[in-house]
Amino acid sequence: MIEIQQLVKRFGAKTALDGISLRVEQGSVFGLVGSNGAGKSTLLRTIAGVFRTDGGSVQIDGQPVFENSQMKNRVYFVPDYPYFLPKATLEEMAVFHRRVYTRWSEESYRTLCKTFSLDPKGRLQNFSKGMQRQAALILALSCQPDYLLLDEIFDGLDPVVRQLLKKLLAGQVDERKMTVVIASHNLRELEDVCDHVGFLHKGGVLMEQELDSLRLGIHKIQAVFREPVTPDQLAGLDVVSWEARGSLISMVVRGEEDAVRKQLESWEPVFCESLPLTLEEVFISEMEAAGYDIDNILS
Amino acid sequence: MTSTTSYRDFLGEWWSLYRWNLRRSRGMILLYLMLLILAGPVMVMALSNGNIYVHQLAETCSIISMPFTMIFVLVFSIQRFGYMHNKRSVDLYHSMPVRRVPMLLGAWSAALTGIVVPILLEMIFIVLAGNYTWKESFPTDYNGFASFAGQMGMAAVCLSFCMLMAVCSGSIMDMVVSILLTNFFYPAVVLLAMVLGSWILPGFSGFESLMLFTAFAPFPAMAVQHIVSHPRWYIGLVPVLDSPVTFWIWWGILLVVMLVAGLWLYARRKSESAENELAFPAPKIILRFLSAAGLGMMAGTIFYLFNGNESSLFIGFFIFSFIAHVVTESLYSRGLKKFFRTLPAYGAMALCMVLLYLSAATGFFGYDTRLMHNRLPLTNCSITARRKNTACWQ
Repeated sequence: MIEIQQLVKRFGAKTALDGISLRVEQGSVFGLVGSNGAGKSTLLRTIAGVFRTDGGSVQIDGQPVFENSQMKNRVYFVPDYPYFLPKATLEEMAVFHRRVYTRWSEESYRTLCKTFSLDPKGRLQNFSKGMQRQAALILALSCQPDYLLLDEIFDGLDPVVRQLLKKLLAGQVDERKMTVVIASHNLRELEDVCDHVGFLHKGGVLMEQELDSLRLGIHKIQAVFREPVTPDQLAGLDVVSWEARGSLISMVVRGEEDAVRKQLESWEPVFCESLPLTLEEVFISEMEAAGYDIDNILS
Repeated sequence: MTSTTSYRDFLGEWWSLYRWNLRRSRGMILLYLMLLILAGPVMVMALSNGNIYVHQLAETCSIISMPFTMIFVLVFSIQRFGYMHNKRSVDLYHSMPVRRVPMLLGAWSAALTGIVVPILLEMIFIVLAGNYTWKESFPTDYNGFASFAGQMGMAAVCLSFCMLMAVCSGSIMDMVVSILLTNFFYPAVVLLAMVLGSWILPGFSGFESLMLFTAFAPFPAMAVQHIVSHPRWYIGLVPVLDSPVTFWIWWGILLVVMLVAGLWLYARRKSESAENELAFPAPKIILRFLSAAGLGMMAGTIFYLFNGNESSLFIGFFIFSFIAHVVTESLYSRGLKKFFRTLPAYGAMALCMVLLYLSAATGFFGYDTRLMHNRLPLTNCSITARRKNTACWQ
């Protein structure tokens, strides 16, 4: 389990993480979503032990990670721009990892090279962005980590490889109870693979929930009322966002679907229906509520 | 049990990184070895048509190899310690299951191996070459080989110095600038202080010590160790105050201090320092002081030589020390955004130098009235010369 308590991380005068608290259970796939500059990459690097904290704590299975080589042997971090040694081939990087990570599995490495169809003797600097990311994944999974931290892993991967990645991750989580934390802007892909989601904004956590509960707990309602209504008039509803086009009201509302519907029906709408929200729509709505929306940016 | 396990883990981590760094340095080690052999024994034997004793070959090659050793210490330092100056490589190295101290020690020891082994191989080549020329089966004089040994020792010192600068710096450029500035300006400042002191203070001719000029400059000190260790080769050049024992005590202590300081600071270095400003500000502050004082004193001395008055000395000093301060600050800070905040530091340096000059010019706390104990007492002395750099005895 990854336990983060009141984590603070500063870069000079700028506070990148401002008292974040999170818990990631073992065997779960946790999606980290957030606005640009929210602190997702900083959080991942702090969990991986690259950054020292300026306050609070990060513990994995009750142990701090920073300068803890035994714990780091169980954690693997794939950054947004994976680094490879100058002029190295995948084979040379494998040799490097083999020396350092005691859980390295040569069999997994060979299998993954075949699966991704990468040439182990090719120079990594000549690979495309997507191929480099695949190479990073091969190295990561071959180290057999208990905790896998991925930053923008879907970026640059074609749809087929993305499906392959999701399948591999699901397999590892199922077989070895591997815990995965993925930071990504590709919410469509995250939705397929994550079971928990955390929203970060300006160094803080906006919300953190199971994905299913999140979907069940927020709805897009389209309704038409006889008389014009404003959000203030709809007391008792936790309205996240509101849009009126003529008589048609589109709103995103938090709460149990039945309770919301019952509340709305008490105002006798002419028409009312609930639509499922994608993770992207949930994200946009929550960010709008936090003041991070296109109107605020353009104004 | 815990400490034994921890010690074994430390060794294991160090060994993994040591072997890996050595593997990655193969090409550079081979290049260094080739240069040492070709520019050393091969070239010397070719020029002498093989008519050279082994000990003479060793003595000559130990001098020729010195600049190559200095260059390759710098090259290996950039290669092995450069990972901490790149954000992306820091992500890889600092997330690995290797603690920082064994990681850096592995890089340092691999670089040292890369320097020392080629020198040892060159020495073996020299002995074998000597046998081949039939001038000498075994060397009768080991001074040349001793010089090689001294070079290896100083290579370790230079490498530790480079490692310390690497840890304090945020980028490779900062590291290289710091190394070059220290090794140029420290000796320059000490030398110029001696020269100016000898002009200002009657009876003062400076401290005759090459070691003092290079006490904190390990690269030129590599040449000094060679001179100090072979007084008979450099008759009249080796100052009285210098001895091999003092030399090696001093540099042995500094080696340990720099190594320990480098490792200690690295354990505390922020990963986010990579590609940013200096990780630890002390070198920048010291080097800005040294470069401003050094260039200012050089220019002041030259102006004084041409015009012969103190005002020229001060004009040259202030103009060029300010220029050096601006250039050093802009190099380290990549511009002059924070320049005005550094002006108090410049003022402090200028005030220091002015106070030093004034204390020397007013007799340096009674130094100018000091009598040499083995000289006759002074009965009369009049000085009519413009430059007050002579003492009178009668």
